[in-house]
Amino acid sequence: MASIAIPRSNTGVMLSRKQRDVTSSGATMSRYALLTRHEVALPAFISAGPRDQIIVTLDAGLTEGSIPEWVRPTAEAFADILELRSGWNSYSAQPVDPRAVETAGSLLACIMAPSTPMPVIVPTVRGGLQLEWHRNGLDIEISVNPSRPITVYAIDNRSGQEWEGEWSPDDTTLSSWIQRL
Amino acid sequence: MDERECGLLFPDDRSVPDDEVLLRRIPRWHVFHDENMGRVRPSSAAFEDDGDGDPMSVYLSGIIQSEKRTPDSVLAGHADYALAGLSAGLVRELQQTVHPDARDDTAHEVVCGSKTDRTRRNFAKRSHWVIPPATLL
Repeated sequence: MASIAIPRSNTGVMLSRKQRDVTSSGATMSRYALLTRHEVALPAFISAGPRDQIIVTLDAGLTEGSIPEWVRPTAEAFADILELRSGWNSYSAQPVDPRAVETAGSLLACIMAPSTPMPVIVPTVRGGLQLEWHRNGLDIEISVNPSRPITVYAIDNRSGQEWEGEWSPDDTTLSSWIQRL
Repeated sequence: MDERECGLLFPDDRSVPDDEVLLRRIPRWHVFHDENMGRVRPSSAAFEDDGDGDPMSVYLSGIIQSEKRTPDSVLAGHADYALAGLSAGLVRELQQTVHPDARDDTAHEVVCGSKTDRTRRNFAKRSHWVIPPATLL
């Protein structure tokens, strides 16, 4: 197994993206270190680690060089939105709940292929987030909130085909839409 | 809040014409390039009611003009934000009310109504930039 770790600094001081330290370690465990202030577990691709880390765990056999392109920028985007404070939209928005990021990570681990383009990741005002793709004639929006089911809206703008519903791990409908991106 | 509650608590101000532009601040987190539309636009996440439960805040461009202000006055103190415009007619078409709420700013109004995913997507795709994001300037 290999991992990408996104830990917090010992001092707790926030650093800008440019200042974030990137390191790697042993042959069986690869790590990128980025600073953030939350502990977030993203199963399959990102798992629980030491306190205040986002750890991305890759399938056995994957090396640092074969990490899917979407993984690292996605983990960075999660780390970025977790740093938002109350009122981040100028209209009383709440901070992003780490549980929403955990849930989103679990979802991505289920639906993403190595070549799937990275989603746009946007925070929502009540502590959730949206994963969005708008390409190849498709609009796909996934809403992830800490205390509600994951909801999906997808439309093929060329054919008019639409799908709207709740996502569950054993439902392959969303995966089939994602494959068309 | 649903249509009935909004009608009672935040009734529509019919003195605001349908072609009036309602201005909404957009943080950079809510801006991305939509490849299908070929342009940068706000996410539907930018058009939710406030985090404290109040209806969605907007500013009336007509009042701003009448006070000899410019739209960028809405962005005062909010660096790195863009300003999106929605017509009052569009807002009403989507079963929302436009209600004055000038406590902190004479141009401030609220848009009340159920913000379903479909409603918010409509706002996002049919809005236009009054002051575009810095990345487009």
